[in-house]
Amino acid sequence: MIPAEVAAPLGPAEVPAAVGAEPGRRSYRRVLRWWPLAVLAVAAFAAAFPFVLAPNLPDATDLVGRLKGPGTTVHGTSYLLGTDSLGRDVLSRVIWGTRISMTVAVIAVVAGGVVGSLLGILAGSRRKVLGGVIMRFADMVLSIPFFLLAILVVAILGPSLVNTVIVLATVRWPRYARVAFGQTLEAHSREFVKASVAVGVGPWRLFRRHILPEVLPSLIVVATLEVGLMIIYEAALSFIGLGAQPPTPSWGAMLSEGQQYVSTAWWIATFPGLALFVIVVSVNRLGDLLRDRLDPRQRSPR
Amino acid sequence: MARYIAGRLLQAVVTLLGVVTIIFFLVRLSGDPARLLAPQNATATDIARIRHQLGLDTSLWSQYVHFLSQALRGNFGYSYVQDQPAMHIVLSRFPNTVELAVGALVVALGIGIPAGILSAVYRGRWPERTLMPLILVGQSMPAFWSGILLILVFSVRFHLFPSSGQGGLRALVLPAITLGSLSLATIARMARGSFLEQLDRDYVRTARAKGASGMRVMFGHVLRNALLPVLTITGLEAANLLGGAVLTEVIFAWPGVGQLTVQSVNSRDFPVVQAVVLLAAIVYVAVNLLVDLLYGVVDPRLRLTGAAP
Repeated sequence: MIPAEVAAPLGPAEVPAAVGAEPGRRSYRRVLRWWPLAVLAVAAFAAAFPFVLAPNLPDATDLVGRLKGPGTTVHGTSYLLGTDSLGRDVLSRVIWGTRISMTVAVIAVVAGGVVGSLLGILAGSRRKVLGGVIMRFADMVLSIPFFLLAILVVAILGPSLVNTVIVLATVRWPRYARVAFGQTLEAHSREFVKASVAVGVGPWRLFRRHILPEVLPSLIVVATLEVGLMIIYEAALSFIGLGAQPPTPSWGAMLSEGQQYVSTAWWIATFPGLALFVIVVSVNRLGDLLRDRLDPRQRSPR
Repeated sequence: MARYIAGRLLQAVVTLLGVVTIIFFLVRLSGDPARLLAPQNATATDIARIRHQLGLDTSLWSQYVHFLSQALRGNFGYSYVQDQPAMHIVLSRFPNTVELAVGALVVALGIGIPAGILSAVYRGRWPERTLMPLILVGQSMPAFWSGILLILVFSVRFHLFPSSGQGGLRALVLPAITLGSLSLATIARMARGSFLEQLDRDYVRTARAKGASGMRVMFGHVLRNALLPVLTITGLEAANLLGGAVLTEVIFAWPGVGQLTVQSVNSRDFPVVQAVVLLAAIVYVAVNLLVDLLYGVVDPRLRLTGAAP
């Protein structure tokens, strides 16, 4: 369940483009490779304006139209993806769920990313005592399986969507800290940084002009991949009842409800899962593309 | 070698101490640990008694020392739901989770390593072009969706495997695939990268030039070198399976530690949750230690230098 923490070798999708494509077809292939952006643009639109896309209200129940299959029409209201056990429109709930997923993931990544990156850069710049303490602490947090740590913290704070965001942000910072630390060390070993230090450039200016531009590309790649992970973990926490509370249309909660009806109403679990899957694949693919673009050093050996 | 082992052991102990410390402070983040540790229907006097029992009316430092010494003995107090020591309950569920994790590792290694080797050897050709996208898809499938889909297809539709519970090999198949599919992706990618790197080395060219067959080069020379990084990843994955097992166990009603965790959180059985988190950290640290030591056995160069791989 915990995805690769490693800069794993890339998928194959770019291999044909790099190896075999004829020159004429190359340009449109180069554009097509960025399909994840199109998918994510649609998702972002759904998250921002769910009321435009959703045919029904996400919380409107219809007890006559309970557990109806995809494509059913009950007194004039058509349910393209069927209804759940309370007669709510699955399609509308999936669309509104986009908003929950994206909001939680983006806030968690921004908060955890900023804190973790700053700590990592600090550790890389003040290597001796402070850096050691920060990085040992990060390693310790990383040695508790992440999902269990998240469960522990939610158990302490109490289950809610706000606490989910807090947990995801506070528990993931070491991931960014590690990357920022490594990149900062590397930046400090560069000649132009050493030269800047030697001529007396202050720490703030050094950070803004030299360290940050060196560190940022890797951090953007990590943050992108983390968005996918955070979407999965928000859904996972909601799935076990520790995230979004009913009747919030969270994909994880919908999956959990859908599992109870798996033998009679397959559509309840299938469609929110599909939405989750498509978004996560797109985010992961975008992360890989960004890595090739921004951070060639992390590219796979070939 | 002795220095290497001693160094690793010390590191493991320091990490565990740190984890216990993190748990200690997390619990105190809530404001009043006594309220957290008390059962839901506890009265004010009950809470006061617990506060006194746990020494929460003493200084933070002496609380910490007390917590540390108790935690190192595995003592997290009594479960409120079942009248037994928390760690005892967790350990009684542990073998079931290990069974699930072993099943998942068999799936992950058994499919992941051959898939990785095939896509490294046939780089850019059809085995790689079909295997790697499939693996990418598997990696992006959250366990709680792939598990439900497996139940939908293999239990509800075709009645091939049971949809829940433990018992025999047949019941293990679907949960093991669900839990293993993610590690499978990681292991396959690692194996592919590692084999690609080794296949470019000079010794491979030399062996080929001497006329060794492809099979002999692969199994006599490359395999041992290329599997080292895979070994490390497998260790990390094995430890991560414990965290991942939570969802799989909930979906398949598998009576392991993960299911226990969710039940305990829902019934506010806090000592049990604490015990699970510490046990998971111990397993993680122990597995990593084991991998480091195995590294020393597999790669003799490390024994001499004592350097980290």
